[in-house]
Amino acid sequence: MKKGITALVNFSVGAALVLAVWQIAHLALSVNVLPSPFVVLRALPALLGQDIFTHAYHSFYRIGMALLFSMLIGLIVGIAAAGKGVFAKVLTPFLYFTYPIPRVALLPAVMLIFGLTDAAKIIMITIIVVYPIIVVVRDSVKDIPKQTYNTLTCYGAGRVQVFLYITLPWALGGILSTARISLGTAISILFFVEAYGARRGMGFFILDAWMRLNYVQMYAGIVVLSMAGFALFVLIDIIEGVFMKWKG
Amino acid sequence: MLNISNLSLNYAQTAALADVSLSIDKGDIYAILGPSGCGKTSLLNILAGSITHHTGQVTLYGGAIDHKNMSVGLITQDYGLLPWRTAYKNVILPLKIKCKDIGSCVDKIDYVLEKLGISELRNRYPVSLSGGQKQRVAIAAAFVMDPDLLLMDEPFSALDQVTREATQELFFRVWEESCPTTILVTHSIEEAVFLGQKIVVLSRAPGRVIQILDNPVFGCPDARGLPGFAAISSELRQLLKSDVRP
Repeated sequence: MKKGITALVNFSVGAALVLAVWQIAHLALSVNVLPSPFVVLRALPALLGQDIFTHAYHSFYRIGMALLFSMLIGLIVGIAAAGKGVFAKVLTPFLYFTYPIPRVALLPAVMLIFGLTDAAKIIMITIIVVYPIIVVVRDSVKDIPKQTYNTLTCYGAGRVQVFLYITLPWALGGILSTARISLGTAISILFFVEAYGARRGMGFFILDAWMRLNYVQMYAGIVVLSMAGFALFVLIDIIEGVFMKWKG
Repeated sequence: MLNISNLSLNYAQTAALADVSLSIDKGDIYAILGPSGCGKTSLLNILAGSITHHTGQVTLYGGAIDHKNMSVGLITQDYGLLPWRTAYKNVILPLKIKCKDIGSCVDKIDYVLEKLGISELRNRYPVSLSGGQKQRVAIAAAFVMDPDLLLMDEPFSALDQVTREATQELFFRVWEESCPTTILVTHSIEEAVFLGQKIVVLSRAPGRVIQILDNPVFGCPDARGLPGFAAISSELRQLLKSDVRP
């Protein structure tokens, strides 16, 4: 209960500060490309008629699927990369070599190969988000104290049990710790991939409003996308609260 | 019976253990005492199954130690608890690994938790427990599996003096109920004398057995206050000093 109240207070203070900064910027710049936040907020109910839910749904779907694939691939590849097998020996130089490539520049290639589909967008987000997850999972698995394994070996645990009781929970802890950063990146990339060949999604909605010089609607779209991101952040908080209680 | 014969271990160019032989009867508790780096933890790791490149033989009840089918408990200095499992789930972990039916062990688990005074802590995670409490959880985990062999690696050295003595006494009270064959590795003379029925003194690296002493004050109530306690402690100190190279 106390936690809920603290979260509500934090949310209110955060929202008030954003509105205040926005309003000050609006008054200071006094240009029509930066309308007052209150004008934008008043325009929000009217968006309901603009199919905003369909746009938001498509964005949620793309982010959700991309995060799911990223975590799954990140978990498997990260754990394998932490091992001592041939896979780890091959993967480490591959990761090292490809990590600095600006993967967002692969967008045209991905679109050419997979077309203007949802799959292309999901793949694009996944390619970008999955790398930090792989690295975090690999490092967290490598950091498992040797003594932890010794105890289970002594109890007679087999490889599968060692994986289930030690490696997997440790790797999942690593994934959750990077979830917020992954989500932030995913939302940014989402906006970018929805700018091309999309007729649905918040990215499209915002850019479309921009092209039509409808700035109030453009900002309203940004507010909706931000709220969606915020909702996902809260979801991560809740998941952490349930599964990461042991971190104290 | 645990038999260790001609056990040697080398790491790259350095020898950690040289020709160690010991024979430990069922239900005995042996304290292995030696200076840092003498290979005593390596000896324990060989028995725990995490070091396998040794030479020589180790047998328990006539055969090689089969960790899958035998119960071997391990209590370490850093407790060896999994941070994401509650105290209770850590205690039952060895049973889970042995695929034992937890339901049929509930009485035993409750008894051990009660005896170690950690019943109230069962739903707490290790992060919220003190060092002494974590150590008692680790001890409980080792005892619920009714170990054929219990291995202890400097188990109390991370605790402060008062907690250490209280935990040692508590451990001994639980231990003497079932008397599992136990090897306790320590660098503390006081701990070896309090808990060791026999005390094995290892030399500096590569560790070899210098002497095996019978402990006359083992199991005596208030052993620490007895003159014999100071006498054997002093004898051990002399033995260890005589091995120190200038």
